[in-house]
Amino acid sequence: MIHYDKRVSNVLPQLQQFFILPKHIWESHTGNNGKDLKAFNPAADGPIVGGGSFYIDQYQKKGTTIFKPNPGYYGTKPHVDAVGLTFYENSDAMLAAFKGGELDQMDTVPYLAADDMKKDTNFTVLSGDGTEVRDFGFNSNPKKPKNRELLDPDVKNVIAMTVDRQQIVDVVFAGYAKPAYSLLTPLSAPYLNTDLKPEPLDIDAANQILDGLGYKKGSDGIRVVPATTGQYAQPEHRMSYEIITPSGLYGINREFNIIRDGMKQIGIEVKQNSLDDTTAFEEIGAPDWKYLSFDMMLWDWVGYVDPDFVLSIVQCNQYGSWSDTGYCNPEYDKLYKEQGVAKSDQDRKDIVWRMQEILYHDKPYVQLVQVDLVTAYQKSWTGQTQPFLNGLSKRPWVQIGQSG
Amino acid sequence: MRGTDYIIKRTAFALVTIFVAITLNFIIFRAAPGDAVTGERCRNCTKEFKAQLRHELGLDKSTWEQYVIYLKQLAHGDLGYSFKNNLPVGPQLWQPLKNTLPMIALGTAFSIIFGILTGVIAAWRRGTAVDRVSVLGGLGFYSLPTQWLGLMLIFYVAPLVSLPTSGIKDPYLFITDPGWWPAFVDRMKHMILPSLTLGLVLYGEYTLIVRSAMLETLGEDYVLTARAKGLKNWTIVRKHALRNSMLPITTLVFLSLGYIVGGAILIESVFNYPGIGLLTYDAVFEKDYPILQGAFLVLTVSVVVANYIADLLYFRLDPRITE
Repeated sequence: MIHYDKRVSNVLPQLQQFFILPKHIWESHTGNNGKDLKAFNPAADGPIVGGGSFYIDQYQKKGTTIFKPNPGYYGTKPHVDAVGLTFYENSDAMLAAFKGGELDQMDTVPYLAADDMKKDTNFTVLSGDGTEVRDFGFNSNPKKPKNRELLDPDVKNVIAMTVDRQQIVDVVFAGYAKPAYSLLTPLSAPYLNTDLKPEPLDIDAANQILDGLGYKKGSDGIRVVPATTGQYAQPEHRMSYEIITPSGLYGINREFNIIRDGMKQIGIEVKQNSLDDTTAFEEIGAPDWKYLSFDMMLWDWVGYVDPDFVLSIVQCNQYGSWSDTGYCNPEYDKLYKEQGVAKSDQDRKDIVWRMQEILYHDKPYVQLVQVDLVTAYQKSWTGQTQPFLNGLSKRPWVQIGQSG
Repeated sequence: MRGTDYIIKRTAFALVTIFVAITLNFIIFRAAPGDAVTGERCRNCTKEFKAQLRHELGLDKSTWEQYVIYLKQLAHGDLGYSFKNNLPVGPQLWQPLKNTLPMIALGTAFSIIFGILTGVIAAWRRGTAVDRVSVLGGLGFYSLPTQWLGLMLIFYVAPLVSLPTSGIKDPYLFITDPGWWPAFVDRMKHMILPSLTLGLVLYGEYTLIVRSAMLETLGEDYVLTARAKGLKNWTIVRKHALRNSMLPITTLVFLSLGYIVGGAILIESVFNYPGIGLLTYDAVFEKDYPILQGAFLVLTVSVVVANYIADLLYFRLDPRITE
C-alpha cells in the first residue's frame, strides 16, 4: 500500500519509473553494513516478485534472458512455453540471425535495412512512433565565458533554421523518423503542444537575420562576432564552434555532417568532437558540473509516454544529474512542480503546453527528429502488436503464438 | 651453467615486464577524462551523491594512494571489486576467460595446422600455381579486418551450414536439462564461427611466415646435399627444412598466442561471445577500472608468459642462442 501526503496528478506514470523490491527479498543481503546489497542482482539471483504474465527464468546481462509463463497469472494464459530476449552488440549480426531464422522477432530493426525487409515475404515489419527525440543542444548557462552569442535565443533560432530535418529523416533514418520540435512526441498526446512547429529551413532568411545582428562575414566566409558589451559582453571572435557528439549514438556522424553543412551556408563553422558517451557527458558538464566550457552538442532523449520525466531534465536542480545544457529557468521549474499536482488533466495539459513554449523560445535544445520504432517478426508467428505498444502492453507476449 | 643464467635472466625480464605493464595499465585508464561515477545519470545523481559514490569506490583518494592500494591488493592475489556490481573481479574474469580459451585454442590449432601445411607446400612448390594461390590466399586473409571477416561468415556461411551466430549456447536448449552430449555439441556449434574467424586471420599470417622461413632453409647447402643423397622429398622437408625453420615459426606462434587473447575483443563483440574480450569491451565504456586492470593483467601475463615460453624453447631449439 502506498500513501501520498499530497495530491499527485500522475501517480501511475510515476510508479512506472520505480522498482519495488520487497523486504523479504532484500533483507538477507544487507550484510557488510548494507554494502552487500550492491552485489545483489535480483534479475540474476531471483526470485522475481511480480504479478505479470511472465517471470525471469534465466538471466544473462549481455546474453539471453529467458522468460517463462507465470503459472499464477490472473489473466489469459500465454500460448508459448518461453520467450528469450537476446542482447546483441552488433546490429548486423542481429539482422543476419533474424534472416537466418535464428530469431523469431527483432526489436529494433536497423533503419537502413527496414525497407528491404518489407519486401521479403517471410517477414512482417511494423513501425510506429517512439519516444526518442534527437536534440541539438546549446550550452544555456548564462555564466559561460566564451561564445556568449550562443546564449541569444535569436542566434539559436537562426541556427535552427539551417537544419535540414527532412535530410536527417531520409539519410540517417531511411524515412523512419519525423521532424520534431519538442522533447515530447505524439505518443504523449494530448501533452504535446501542437501549436508549435519545427523551425522552417530557410538559409536566406537565416543569413539576413545574422547580417541584421551585425555578424559580418570575414574574408574566409566565416562570420565574425564584434566586440560587445551588455548582456552578451565578449571580445571579437569568429563564429567557429565545437559540437560534442557521443560516439555510441546511432547515425550521429551523418547527423553532424548535415548540421555542419547547413551552418556552413550561413557562415558558421563547426567542428565535431566525437567522444565516448561518458566522456562526452563529462565534457558537457565541465568543469565540475558548472557547464562553462562547451558550446553545442548532439544527443537524444528517450522519455516515457507520460511527459513528467523529459520535462524534469531541464530543471535547475538537474545540474550534474540529467542536465546536458546547463539550462536553468525558475519560471519553468515552478511550472514543473505545478504540473505534478494539477487538479485536472486539462490543467496539467495547459501547464505542460506552456512549459514547451518556454523551452521552444529559450532553446536549450533544437529538437531535430523523433525516431520511429521498427520491429520485425517471422510470418510464422502471430499476435504481435505495434512495437511501442508491445513494450507497454499489460500483457506482453501473451497473445503471440505460431500460426497454423 | 650458461643455461641457468639464461633462464634466470629471462625470468627476471618477464617479471619486470609484468610489473611495468601493471603500472602502465593503472595509469592509462586514469589518464582518460571521467571515471566510473561520471557516467551516472539519474534524477538523484546530485554532486553530493556522486561525491559519496567516489568516496565509496576510493576514487577520491590521490592517484598515488590508489596505486599503492592496488599493488597491496595484487600482492595478496586480490584483484579488487568491480565498480559496477561490487563483486570480486577474479571470478568475473575467470568465467569469460574459460569461454575465450577454448575458442582461441580451436582457432589457433586450425591456423597452425593449415598455415604450416600451406606454407610448406607453397615453399616446396615455389613459382607454381599452388604457390601463387597459397600466397594470395594468405595475403588476403591476413589483410582482412577481423570484424569484417566475422560479419561475412555470419551473413554467408552461417545460413548455409545452419550454425548459430551469437552467444555461447542455445538458451532454449537449457530450459530443460539436455544432457551433456547435446550441450557439448551445442557449445561446439557456437564456437565454430568465432574460432574460424580467428583461425582464418592467423592462417594467412602463418602461411606467409612459414613459406618465407622454408624458402630460406630450402636454399641451404645441407638441403642440396640431402637431395643429392637421393632422400625422399617428404624426408627432406620434415627432417631438414622444416626443423631448421622452426625458430621464426615458434616465435610467431607464441607471440600470436599471447596477443590473440586481446584480439578476441573484436571477434567476441561481433559474435556476442561472452568471453574476456567482450568483458573488456564493456568495461571500457563503463570505466570499470578494477575489471579493466584485471583483464589487462590477464592479457599482459599471457603475452609475457608466451614470450617466456618461446625464449625457453629457443634455448631447446637452438643452443647457439645463449652464446
